[in-house]
Amino acid sequence: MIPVVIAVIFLVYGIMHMTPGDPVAVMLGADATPELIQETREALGITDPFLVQFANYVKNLFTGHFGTSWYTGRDVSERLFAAIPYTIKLSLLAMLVALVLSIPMGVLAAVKHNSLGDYTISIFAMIGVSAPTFWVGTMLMLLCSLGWGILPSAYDGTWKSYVLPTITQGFNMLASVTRTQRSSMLEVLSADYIRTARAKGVSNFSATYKHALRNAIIPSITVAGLNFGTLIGGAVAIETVFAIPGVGRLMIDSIKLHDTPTVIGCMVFVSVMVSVINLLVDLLYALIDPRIKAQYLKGGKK
Amino acid sequence: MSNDMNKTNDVMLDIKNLVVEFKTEDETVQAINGIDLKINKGKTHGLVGETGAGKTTTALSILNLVPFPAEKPTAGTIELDGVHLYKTNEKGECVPALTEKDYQSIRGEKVAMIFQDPMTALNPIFTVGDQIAESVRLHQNVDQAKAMERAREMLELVGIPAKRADDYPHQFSGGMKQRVVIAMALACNPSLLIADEPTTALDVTIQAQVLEMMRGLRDKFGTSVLMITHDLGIIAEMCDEVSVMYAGRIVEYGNLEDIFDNTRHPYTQGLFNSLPNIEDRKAELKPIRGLMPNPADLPKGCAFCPRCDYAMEICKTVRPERKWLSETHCVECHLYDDGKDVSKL
Repeated sequence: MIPVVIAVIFLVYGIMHMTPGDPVAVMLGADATPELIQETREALGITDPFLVQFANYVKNLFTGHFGTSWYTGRDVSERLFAAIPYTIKLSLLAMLVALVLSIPMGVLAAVKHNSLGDYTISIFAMIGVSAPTFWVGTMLMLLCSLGWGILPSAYDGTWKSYVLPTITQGFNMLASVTRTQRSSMLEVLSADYIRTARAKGVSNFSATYKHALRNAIIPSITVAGLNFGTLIGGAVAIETVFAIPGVGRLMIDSIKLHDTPTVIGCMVFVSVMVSVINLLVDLLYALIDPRIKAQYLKGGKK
Repeated sequence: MSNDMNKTNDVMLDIKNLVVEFKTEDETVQAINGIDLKINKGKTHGLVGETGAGKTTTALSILNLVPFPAEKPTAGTIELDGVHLYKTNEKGECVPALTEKDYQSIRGEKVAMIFQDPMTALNPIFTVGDQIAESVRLHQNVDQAKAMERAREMLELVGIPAKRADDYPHQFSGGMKQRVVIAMALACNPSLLIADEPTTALDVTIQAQVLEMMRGLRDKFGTSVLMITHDLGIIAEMCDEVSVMYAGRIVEYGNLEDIFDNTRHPYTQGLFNSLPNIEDRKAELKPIRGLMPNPADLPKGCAFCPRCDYAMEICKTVRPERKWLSETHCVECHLYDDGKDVSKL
C-alpha cells in the first residue's frame, strides 16, 4: 500500500513539475523585483533538482507535513484537513447507499430473471453506467432543485443538501454493482452446488440467500472496490457542481492557482483513501471465501 | 414384469409413462418420451444410455427439480413408496401432487441424490461438516451440535477422518469430495438413493473404491438405488435390473442376465460393442455410427433407426411398441414383431 502511495505522489509531483507557469509570479504579483522572485524561489526549494525536491517532500510527509501552500503561505494540511471530512462523509455515504441498493436490486433481477422487474433494473443500470457523473448531477439539480424545489442545489450544511450529491456520486457504482450482482447471481443460481442444496431439501429461499448470495457477492465486492477510485474521482466534479468545500473542490481550485503543494496533498489523500478501501476489499474477500483466506495464510507462512 | 407384482408393497419407486418436454420459443425438446420404471425395495436399478438420453432429467423429475423451462413433467405419474409425487388432472396434464414444502421434506430424507461432478457439487464457502449437518438439521429435529456429530459419523463411514469436518471443499481431492457428497446423501438414511454417474468424474482406481463403498453402504442400510451411468461395467457390478435409455425412451429392460447374455435391442448391442474386450486386445472397437438424434426433432418412427444396422422400412415410420420377451425382459424394436425370436442378432 505504501509503495503505491509513493508511486502516485511521484507521478503527480512529476506532472506538476513539468507544467508550465511560474507559481512565484502568481504569488508575488506583476510588480515584484527579479531579486525578490529569486529569493522566494530559493526559499520554496524549487531551485533544487527534481529528485531532491521529491525526496524532501516524501520525508516531510512521513512527519505529517504536506508542505507550505504557495497560495496562502501556510501549511497545506490546514485547508486539506478542513476539506477531508466533507469528502470522506460524502464518498462513504455514496458507496454505502450504492451497495445497499445495488445488491438487492441485482439479486432481484437475477431471481426474477426475464421478468418486467429484471428488464426495468437492467435498463436502469445500463443508463447508470453510461451517464457521466457531472451530467447526472446537473440533471438531478435541474429536476429536484430548480424544477420541483424540494432539495437544495448547493451545500448548506443540512442533511438535505447531501441527498443530491450522494445520489450523483453513487450512481455509477450503483449501476455497475447491480449489473455485476445480477450476472454473478444468475451464474451461481445455476451452479451444481445450488442443485445439490435443493436436492437435500433446502428451501428455495434458503438456497438463494444462504447458499447462492454469499458466493455471488464476491464479484460485486471486486467491482465496488475498483469503482471506488472512479467514485472518488467523481468528487472533483460533484463538489464543484454542488459547491461542497471538500477535497475535490480544493484540488480544482489549487490546480487553477498552480498551488502545487496543495494539489499533491489532495492527491495523497485520495490515493491513501483508495488504497485503504482496496485493502478492506481484500480483507472482506478472505472473510467471505475460505479459498482466498487459505491463500493469504499460505502466503504469510513463506 | 407381471402385473400382480405392482400390487405388493415392496415397490419403492414407480414411474409410469413419464414425459418431460422443454418448450422454448423456437422448439420443443422432447427429453423424456413416456418411460416406465420400477424399483423394488432394496434393489438397485441401472439406467444406462448416452449423454443426452434423458437419464438425469428422469432423476430430477423424481425430486421435482426439473430445470427451467419445463419445471415439471408434461405427463405421467411418479409414485414413491406408495405416495403420489405427481398426478394427472382433468385436462390430462401432469401436476405436482404435493406442496413445495412436502417435496422439500422428501428431498434428502426419502430420496437423496448423488451428482455427477463432485468438483462442483459442494458449496465452496461452507465446511463439508456444515453441508452434511445442514441436511440432518433440515430433516431431523436436532440442534447444530448433534447434527455436526452425525456429520462426523457419516464422514467416518465413507472413510474420511471425522476431524476433517471443519475443512472446506477445496481442501479435498475429487474422490474425497465424492465421498463427502455420498455422506451427505446418506446422512438421513434415504429409502431411495439416486446416483447420477457417481464415478464418471473420478479416475479408475478411485472409481473402484467409491463403488465398493457404495455397495457396502447400500447393503448395510437396505437402500434402493437408481444407478444412472453410461458404464456397463458399473451396471454389471452393482445392479439387479437394467433399463437402457435412448432418446428419452427405455428401449430395453431386463435383469442383468437378460441384458448381458440375451441382448436384444440393436442399441444395447452397440453399447456392448463399444467396450474394449479384455480377452481380445487386438479386436477393433465397433462404435455405434452417427449421433443421437436432436431431441427437438426426433424421427417419426424408431429414434434409433438412422443409426441401426438392422433398420427396416417400418422402422422409419412406425414407432415400435414395447414387447415382453419373457417375464423380466422387454424391448422396443420392430425386429421382434410377430413374436419373431431373433436370438442371434
